[in-house]
Amino acid sequence: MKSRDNFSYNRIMKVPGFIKGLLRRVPVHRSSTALGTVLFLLLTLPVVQSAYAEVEVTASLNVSSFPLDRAAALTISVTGARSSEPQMPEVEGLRFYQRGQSTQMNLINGAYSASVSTLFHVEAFREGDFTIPAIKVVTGEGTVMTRPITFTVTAPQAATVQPQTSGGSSSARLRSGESDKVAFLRVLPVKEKSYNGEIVPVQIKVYFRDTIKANLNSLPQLQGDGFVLQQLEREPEQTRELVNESRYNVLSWQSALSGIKEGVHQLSVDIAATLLLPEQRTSPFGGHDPFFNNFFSSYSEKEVTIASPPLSLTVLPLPLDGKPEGFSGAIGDFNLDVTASPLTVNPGDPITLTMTLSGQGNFDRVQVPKLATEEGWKTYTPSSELLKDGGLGHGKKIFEQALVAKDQNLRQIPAIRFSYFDPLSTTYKTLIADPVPLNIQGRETEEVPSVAVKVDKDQGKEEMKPAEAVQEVVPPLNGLAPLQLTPGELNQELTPLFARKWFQVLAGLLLLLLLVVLVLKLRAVRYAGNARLQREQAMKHLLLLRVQEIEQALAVNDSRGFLAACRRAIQEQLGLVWEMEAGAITYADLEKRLSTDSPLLPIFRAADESAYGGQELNPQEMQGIVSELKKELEGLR
Amino acid sequence: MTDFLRKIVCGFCFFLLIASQLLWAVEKDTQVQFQNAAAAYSRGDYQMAIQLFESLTGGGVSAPLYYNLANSYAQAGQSGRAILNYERALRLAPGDSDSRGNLELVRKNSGLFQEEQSFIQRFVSFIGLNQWLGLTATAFVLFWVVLLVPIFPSYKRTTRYGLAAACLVVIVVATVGAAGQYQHWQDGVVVVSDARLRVSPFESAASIGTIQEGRMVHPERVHNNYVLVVDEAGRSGWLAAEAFEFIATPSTFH
Repeated sequence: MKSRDNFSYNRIMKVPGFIKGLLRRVPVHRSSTALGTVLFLLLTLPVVQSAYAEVEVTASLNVSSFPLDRAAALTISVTGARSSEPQMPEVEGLRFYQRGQSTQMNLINGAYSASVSTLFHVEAFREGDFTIPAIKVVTGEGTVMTRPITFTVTAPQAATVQPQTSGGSSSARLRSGESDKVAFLRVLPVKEKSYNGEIVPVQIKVYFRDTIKANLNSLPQLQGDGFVLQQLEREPEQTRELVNESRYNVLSWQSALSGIKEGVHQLSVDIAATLLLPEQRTSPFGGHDPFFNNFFSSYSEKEVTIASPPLSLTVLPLPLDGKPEGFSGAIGDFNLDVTASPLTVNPGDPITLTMTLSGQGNFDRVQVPKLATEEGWKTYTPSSELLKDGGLGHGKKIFEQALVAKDQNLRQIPAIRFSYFDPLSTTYKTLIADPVPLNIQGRETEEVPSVAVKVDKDQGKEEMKPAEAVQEVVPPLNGLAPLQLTPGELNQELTPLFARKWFQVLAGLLLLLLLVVLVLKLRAVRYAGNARLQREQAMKHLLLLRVQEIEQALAVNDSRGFLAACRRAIQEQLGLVWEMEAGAITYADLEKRLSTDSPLLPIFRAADESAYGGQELNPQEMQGIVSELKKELEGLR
Repeated sequence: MTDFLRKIVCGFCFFLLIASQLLWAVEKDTQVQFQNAAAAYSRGDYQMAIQLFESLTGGGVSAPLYYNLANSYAQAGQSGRAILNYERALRLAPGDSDSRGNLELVRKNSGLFQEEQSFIQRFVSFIGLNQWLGLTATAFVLFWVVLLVPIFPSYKRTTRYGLAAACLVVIVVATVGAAGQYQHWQDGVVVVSDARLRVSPFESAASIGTIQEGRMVHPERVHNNYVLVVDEAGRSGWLAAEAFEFIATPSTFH
């Protein structure tokens, strides 16, 4: 029965770390879980943002010394940031494997703190003292550096089963006697004796009592010599099982062990986890009220390393008798299929040989099958592709190899052999693919290896010029197109256009131009849709014209012209304001619509009298009118 | 005053004359060296041809120069450097059929078979990065000209918007092409035989396997004298810096 209850597995469940941190403090009872979660989130979310005040980083290695055949765990913890990307340095003799990352959000005394932990496995290639330099960690809140870490790598140890426990006083170690434990681990290989290099399917199962919650801090790790464990799937299968009438949630990985050293080996598999154990609290109403416990009880965290019972496995040597030549270490049950294309070729043409080995076995040790004879053939490094198919160790490996016949009299691709060891019959077997018939077409005429040079026709030289015979180590390549005769323009650059200065300047100018055009266009659109703006522009323009007329009349002391221009100016400006025909505006209209003390009234009346009665003004009077008229008409806008 | 002006004009003409003579001399020298290199190639002295063509690259580069250099390397049996220079020639002249044909021939002869390109890959490699960028820029300018400048006031609004939409499509397509080309702009080519990929950037590090001369690799980052590369098969490992060369000048690299 599949189940996802009670697990808050950081990498698998893909739940954001801070949500998990919140959920972790909420009891699991179904009826109150939802209510409690919602209440808790509502109360706490507004202050979540204040959690990232100060960023701190620590890097720690779980041991200060470890043997060459083991790995150490490097943990980089960042507090005060929601994300962490360690930029691992390159250290000679060391290799880092990232094993996961977890994010947590804690509430301590009403204040939140966010932390991101990244776990690496450190593997060494030699013994000696090492220093991991300061590691740069890029976080969402800035870049921080760790302190350098110094440690020692010692000589490989003999086969012992001492799984590492994570540090801290709360760490515990669980072993056999599974029935009374809250968590235990089982390793179930399909057989206990295998040959060196043989794939042994194995199932790894971690059991957690269904009343507790757990976080996994690592993937299962093999402890012990003589075997290697294949890369585990990141997402295990989750099921529920009954063991001794107790219900357990189970995480299972399907993997394979492969023996690398002959002999009897003691092995164990362990996994680091954090158990969240419920703490019972007494209700203020007396007794242990389940509802009170579910809502207010907290969980205590306990870091544990869960280890399997020791397992004794034997690695047998491969028999020497009957070991075929060219045996590469393949163990299992295989089939060989060979195809070649094309089968009709010209001399020198490559042929692609496709060799497919399918079946079950240790495909990592399967090497390319060999031609029975390579005489007369030029072979190239093959490419290979492994396609997994079905269960563990099942699949097919496809090799593609290019061949070129050096001898045009060859009539077939030779037989192809592949040898492997069958562990069921405990014998070596050799698969042989039949020769593939081939048709190599002969050359019509034997060409002297020559190189042609194309000559510029404009220069009137020869079109083709045979090359002189020279001693060469490498045979010349036939079929190449001839040389170019002119060097072309020798100032080109192998840099992208956008990285060149002139392009950047041109692009900048174009953008500037675009900006200018855009602004002008926007202004024009704004003007076209705004009647008030248009009227103001027209008033301004007309007033400018009339003022010029008035000043000209004033300059020649033309009183009639002066007053006529003043009259027109008043009519035009008021016409635009009152939205009337300018010529139709009379003194009566002014009297009706302007205030009685408006200076425009006497000016307009004087202009009327001048037009109809011949009244004239002296220069001083005209001078006084000009400034007053301008001020008044400008005020209309 | 007239005499002074006359002197200035005379001096300027003299300067132009000297400068043009110098330029002509340099060009002539380049032409002579280029012809000498071609002659060395035609008589089968490929090492001399390589030397002369390589020395010319110091004064500037061009597609024909890279192409001739590549031919010389191909004839001398140095498939890695031949492929490198054909790729460089194609960066400058993407449509050159001679470069493409010779590159295919050298790859085929060296057993460097490539997977058939998808439609998108073929489309992206139809023209070069700079051509895609030029097309993007042109379409961008046209887009705004059509929208903002009333060149064809008599055209209907729908016609103008149609033209602008067409420009926008060209911009998008050309940007995709440019992005696709730029992905491989900083690729390199393995130029030594039996180059080894290592698990970490140190001579003592274990080897993942060999990588064939002429293989294209995509560099990721540098550490000391090693570069973390990904090859065409997706293998990732550290390669000695002297074992490969960038096709184009690396600009953004850490």
